[in-house]
Parts: sequence; structure tokens; C-alpha cells
Amino acid sequence: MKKSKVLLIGWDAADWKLIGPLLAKGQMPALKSLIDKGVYGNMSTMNPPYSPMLWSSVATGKTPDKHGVLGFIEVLPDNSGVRPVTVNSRKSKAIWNILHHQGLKSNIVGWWPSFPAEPINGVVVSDKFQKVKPNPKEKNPLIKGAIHPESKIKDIKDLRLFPWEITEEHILPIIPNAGKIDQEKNKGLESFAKIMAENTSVHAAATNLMRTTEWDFMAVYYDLIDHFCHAFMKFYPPKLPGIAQESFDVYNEAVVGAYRYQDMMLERMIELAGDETTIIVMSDHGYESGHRRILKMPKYPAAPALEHRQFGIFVAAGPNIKKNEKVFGLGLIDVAPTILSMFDLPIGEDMDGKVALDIFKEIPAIKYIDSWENVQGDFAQHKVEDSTGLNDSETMQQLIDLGYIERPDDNIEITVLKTSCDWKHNLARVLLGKKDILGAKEILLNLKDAKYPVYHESDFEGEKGKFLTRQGYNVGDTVVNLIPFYMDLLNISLKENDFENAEHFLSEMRKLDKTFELNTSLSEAKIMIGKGKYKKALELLEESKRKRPNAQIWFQIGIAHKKMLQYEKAKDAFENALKLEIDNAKVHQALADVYIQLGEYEEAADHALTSVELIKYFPEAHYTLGQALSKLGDVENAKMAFEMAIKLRPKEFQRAEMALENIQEKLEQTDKSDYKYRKDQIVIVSGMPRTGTSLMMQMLNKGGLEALTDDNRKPDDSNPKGYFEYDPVMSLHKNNSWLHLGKNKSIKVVAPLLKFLDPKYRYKVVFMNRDLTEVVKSQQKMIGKDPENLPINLLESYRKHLHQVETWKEKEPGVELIYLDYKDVLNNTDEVIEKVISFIGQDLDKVSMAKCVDKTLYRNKV
Amino acid sequence: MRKEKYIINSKGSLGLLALGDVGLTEWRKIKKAELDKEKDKNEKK
Repeated sequence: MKKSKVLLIGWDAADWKLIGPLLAKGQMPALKSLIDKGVYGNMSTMNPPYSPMLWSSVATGKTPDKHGVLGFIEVLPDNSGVRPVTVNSRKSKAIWNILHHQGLKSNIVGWWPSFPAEPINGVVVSDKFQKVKPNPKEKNPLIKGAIHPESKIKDIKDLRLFPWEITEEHILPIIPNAGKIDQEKNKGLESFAKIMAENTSVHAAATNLMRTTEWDFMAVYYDLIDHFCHAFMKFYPPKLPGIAQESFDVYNEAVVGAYRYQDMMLERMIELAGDETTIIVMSDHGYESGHRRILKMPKYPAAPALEHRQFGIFVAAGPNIKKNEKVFGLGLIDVAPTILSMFDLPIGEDMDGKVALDIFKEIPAIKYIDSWENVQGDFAQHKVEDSTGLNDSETMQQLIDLGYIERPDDNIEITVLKTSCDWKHNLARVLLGKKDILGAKEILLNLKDAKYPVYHESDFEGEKGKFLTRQGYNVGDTVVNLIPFYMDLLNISLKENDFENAEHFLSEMRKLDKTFELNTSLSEAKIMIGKGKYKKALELLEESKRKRPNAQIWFQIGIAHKKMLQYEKAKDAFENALKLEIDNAKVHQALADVYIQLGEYEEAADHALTSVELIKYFPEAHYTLGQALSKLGDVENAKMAFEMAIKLRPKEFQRAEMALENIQEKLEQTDKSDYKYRKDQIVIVSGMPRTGTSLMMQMLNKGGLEALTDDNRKPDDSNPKGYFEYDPVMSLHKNNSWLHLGKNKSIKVVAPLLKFLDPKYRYKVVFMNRDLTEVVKSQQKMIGKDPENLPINLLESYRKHLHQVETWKEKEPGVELIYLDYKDVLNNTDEVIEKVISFIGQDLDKVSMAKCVDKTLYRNKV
Repeated sequence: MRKEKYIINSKGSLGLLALGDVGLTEWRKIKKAELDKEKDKNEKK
């Protein structure tokens, strides 16, 4: 059997939105050839979408809190300064360290970060190799640690292409109107030459190693597409309103040109790799190419990453890879485990990713170990920390040019402080992505509350002053921008339904910067939705939509309508959101949920399926899919969807657990009766006021089911036998934490409050119905008004509440509900009692229950 | 292995760069040769 060989090619920021049309036009033939003989799909990114963090997750199969690479620049071990991030920040073993330990050979080229080159079995051409000084008069010696082993330097050092070597033959196919550029004023061609030169250097080194060395694994990273996007995506068609026609005419083909050049390089790699090699081409995130492009970046660190789209690309082809199939739900953290499985090596249980089994023709046997980190032996990791400081000025400058980092402050202490804050902030955002809300909150609150130095008037003199002004700083501002911390804290408060705090953070944020108007309107609208002020939320959202509509605004409009049970309007809003952002998994899930409410289950299943295809790690979408399939009668698949929802949710997902239990009961059909007693069930007696709820409470109580009541409301003429109420029920919408007291008891809850019952319990709801006219008459009389004068609004409101109960029941898998008619309780008492006992699933004293019925109390008949 | 003939001039091409180390090296050889020729010409003058 031939030895497995794997070639992993990273195309930073490659996006199907750009690739799709190029494939259709035959302009990316190399990638097309891989797709035709392999698998393809979306690659889901992680937050924050910063490339060194993401590519380190690709290499380790772990999230950044574990692998330790948390930004673009890092603080030196002795705190004496900062430098572009190095491999020393990575605390976890990469694929190539593990392969080294197993005696396998790897070639790593350009990986970010990979400097200083690790002493692996094979060759590392680190990410410092291709960085050169822009001035041809300056010398460019290869820095120590750029290449391992040193014996390879002689073969590779001359494979660097320098920006000044770029000719018109390289420029014109990509920028045909380059001749019109006034190079004194417009530095676009300088960026072009630098990016082209660096990526060609990486490619030359990679092809050399492919030709001249024996290898088992090879990983090559190109930033060509990402850097072209940062420099030229603003000129990509359609022309954005703020872009000058002249610039648009010159640069509008640049990004597409980069994709085509990348494909030409891929053609060579495929040729050199040979048929026996498994080739993976992937990106770490996509790049906005439509209406979400940002011309004026907010002034906070790494803001350009706001244009990184959630989905990158994944293509794989090789001897054991399926042919021409689309694969779903891939994440960056799945790459390392998948590659280890290709080498028949065990996966660390501490890896966050899973093997992408769907890509294989024959699924490899997956083996596990606790952690590769605990395995002793030679993994070719560095042992001594390197304290090289700010001498890597080319990389620093590039990161500044790209907008990923601020220009370091003259005061080194401030630079170190800012970098360490960014590092902590990124860690908080990673924890947020992992749903560790408490961990994230603690870091963010510390960052927000820390005492920072402030900028003084003297800082605003000369060049530094101009720079600070451009960055939006004023005299008296803290040197660390607090707004990003407030933004995340605000979002956490929204997730926790802590709207008071959300409002506080919003107000602090607005005090700090008034230029965030659009974003804060959206946040304010979310707060309003959370507080139930839907009309106010819609006003804010409509205003934002008028300024600049986007999918987020439409999504929130849909949420507001959904909360108001205006499902048709919600559907329209979600569909509008999808017109602007077709691959937004959250919107597909919300739309699926609305379709369920509208009884259109096939559409619901369609959208829920799209949602889970886009993001596999989305338990709510699997749950919605389960609901839709269950409604369609596809019980087996519904069961699988609920199981997946439970598996993916880090904490308990009671709704899904109960829905799964319901489905299993259906499948097993062990109990033919419709209802059965459920452990710790809470019996709820509900209805509109004056529908006989007190009577039913009394009957259950006399029958032997204890009522949760405080007897604070005393019997009166309207209810001479007592109300059986419990005061905390009145504020159920604010606090439902006491509901456990109702386990195996009955509680009286008026209909409008049912939706606030905690979904983690099982409820048996006995819902009392009575002719609504009778109900209203009875209430009018009770409050001393003329019973013959019927308030129409009240009647309408009651009808609406009854409709809401039906919707709520359908949505909540933990709820079983029967309707009883008040007249039947009075006239067919025995029959009703049988029905109630069967529903509750407990033996009750029928005679005592029947004795409670006093027909003389039936007044206000119609 | 593909065997194609490339006509290389001193200005190079994207296709040559995409060939990787081989393309880059061959292009530089042609550039150097042309430069040397030019130098020779100038020296003879």
C-alpha cells in the first residue's frame, strides 16, 4: 500500500462568493479539477476571526484559549516590548510536531506563525522568509531562525522574489489600466508589488521543497487573497458610492486577478503533488464583497477583520476522498484531527475539533488518546524563549498598513499595555465563542475597570499628535480604547437577559464615542425587544434601515414581529435578511421557526436544514429541524435532530431532551394511553379569569393533589370556596425560579403568564374554557360594572391570548395540555373527572372531586 | 511530468512565477544574460 501523503494549502480569506463565478467562467481550472474529483464545502470560522489565531487552530485542532496564540503581536517574555506573533506563543503541539514524534517528515512553508522555525524532521520555511525591505538599496539577509534546517538555506534563500523585480508583465494581467496610475499620489502598485513578491516567494520555496525533498505532510500558507482584499476589495464591482470612478476603473479587476494567480499556482502544486497525495485547499474565513464592505473603518484594533466573512472554503481530493460531493458543517478545528486520522494517528481528546468523517470514501478507524500534550518525547518544539524585539519592522509595518494593529506608541510601556489588553480581550472573545460567558465577563469587567494612563496635551504635538487624532483619540482619553470592552459586555448582558446592565453599558459606550450611531441603535433595539417594548424597537430598527439596511437590522425586525406573534411580518423580515445575506444560519433558523408557527412544515425543515448545513455546531437549529420533521411525521430523523441538538449544547437543553423523550415514546409505543404520569410534573390550572379555574383547583385539591397556594386571597362572593392562588405567580414574568416548589402539585396560572413557565420542567396544563361572552359578563359583574355592556376590546384581547396559548403549547415539548369546558365540568362532572385523572396520570379521589361542583354558582349564563 | 516549452523574456510573466522555483530561476537566468549582454555592448562602445 502506498504511504499517505497530505498537502494542506491555506488561502487566507478565500471566499466561495468570488470563486463561484470564476469557476463557472472556467477561470479557476485547477481548483475546479480538485472539486470535480473531491469534496467541497463551507469552512466555518471562529471569533475573533484573526488569522494567526485561526491558522494556529487549524494546525492544532484547538481553540486559541488552549493553543495560546491570541493576536497579531505579542509581548516579549521580559515585557521589554512587543513583536509580531511567533511560534513561541503556541503552547500546543501542531500537526507537524506530532508527525515528527512519529518519525514522519513535514515541510511547512509560510505558516502564520511559524517563526522561529521549529527543528522538525523535514523543512520549515517560516513566515519571516518572504518579508523583505522595500528599498532595493538595502540588504536583505535571511534572519536567524527563518529556515530549518540551516543546511537548506543555500537552496532556498535565492527563491525570494523582491518587489522591485515585479514587471508590467506581472501587473497588467491583474490591473490592466495600471498605466493610468499616478504613482506619486497613489501607492496601490507598491502594495501590489509587495503582496505579489511575498506570495511568489512562498510559492517558489514550496515548489522547490516539493520537487527536491521526501515528505509525508506539507503545509503551505498564502496571504495573497487576504491582502489583495484588504487593499483592493473596495474597488470590486458593484462600485460603492464613496469610491471615485477613476480608482474603480483602475483597480476593479485586482481581487479577481489575485484569485486567478492563486489558481495558477495551485495548478503547479497539483502537478508536483501527484495523484497519490491528498490535497486540501482551505481558507480561514471569507471576505465581504457586497454591501457589507466598509469604507470607513471604526478606529479600534483589528477593525479591518470586520470585513472577514463567517465562511471560508474547503476543498479536498485524494485517493480516499469522496468524489464531487458537497460536505457540510466543517470548522477550522476539525482540520488537524482529520489530517491525523489520514496518518492513522490518534486524536487528542482535548482537541476541540472532530474528524470530518463525511469526506472519506472509506472511513478510517478513529483512535483517541487523552492528550498529545501529555505524551513525552521529542516533538521538535522550541525549548528556549526568544526575546527578539521590534527589529522585525517589515512585518510590523505590514500589520499596521493592513489596519490589524495600531502604530506602536513611542512609550514602550504603553505599547506593552495595549498589546496585553488586546491579548486578554481576544481571550474573552474566544471564551464567548465557547459559551463560557462567566469567564469572558470576568476578563471584560477587569479590562473595563482597570486604571489606564490618559493622553495629555503634550501627546498631541507633532507627528504623534496627528496620528492620535487620526485614530480618534482626544486629550483626556485613556490610552486603551474601552469601547470594544463595553460592546462585548453589552452583548453578554443581552444574552443573559440583563437589560438594566445592557442599558448601562450602552449609555457608557455612547458617552465614549458618538460615532457608533448605527451600531448602538441596533443594540438599543435589542434591549427594547428584550424588555418587551417591541414597538419602540421597531421604530429604532426602521430608522436604522432607512439609513443603511443590512441583514442584522432585518433579522431584529423579524425577531420583534415574531415576539408580537406577527408571523407573516416576521417571515417577510427574515426573507429580506436572507436577500442580503443568504448564508446566515441564524436567520435560516429563525425563519424555520416562523414557518413552523405558520404550519408550513416543509419550508421550515428546508430552512432548518440549510441552517445546520451552514453551521453544524448550532444546537437550536438542530432542535428546530427536529420540530419541523416531527410535524412532518418523519419521526426517525426528528429523533436524530433532537439527539444532535442535545449533544452539541454545552449545557442542558431541556426542550430538546423532552422533545426527544416524546419522540422515543412515539417510536416505542409502549404505552398506548395518550397520557402518563411524568416524574416531578407540575399540574397547571389555567384559563382566563372567571372560567372555573378556582373550581378545578379545588377539585384537584380535594381529590388528593396538593395545591401550591399561600391562601393570601380570601374567599368572597365571587368565589365563595376560595381562589387557590399563589402570590409569586403574579410576577412569574420577572421571576420563575420558585417553580420547583410546584413539582407534583397544582398551581393556578392565568393564561397570559403561561409563556413564562420555565421550559426545564414537565407541565400538565388543564386549561379551562368558557364562552367568552360569559367570561366577560362575569368579570364585569365582579368589578361592579354593567354585565350587559360588553367591552369589545377585552373580548378581542382574550381571543388573542387563547391563540397564544395554542402557539405556546405547540412550541414547548415539555407541555401537555387539555381543554375543559366550564359547562361540562358542571353538567358532565364524572366524565370530566375521568378525563382529568387520565391526563394527570395519578389516582385521585373521584367522589371528593365531584362534591366540589356547585351548580348554583353558575351565574352569568348566555 | 508536464513538458511544455516556454518562451522566456526578461520581463517574465505570471505563468513563469506560478511555476514556482523553476520558473523564477529560469527567468532570472534570462534577465541576467540580457543584462550581461547589455553591459558587454556598453563596454565595447
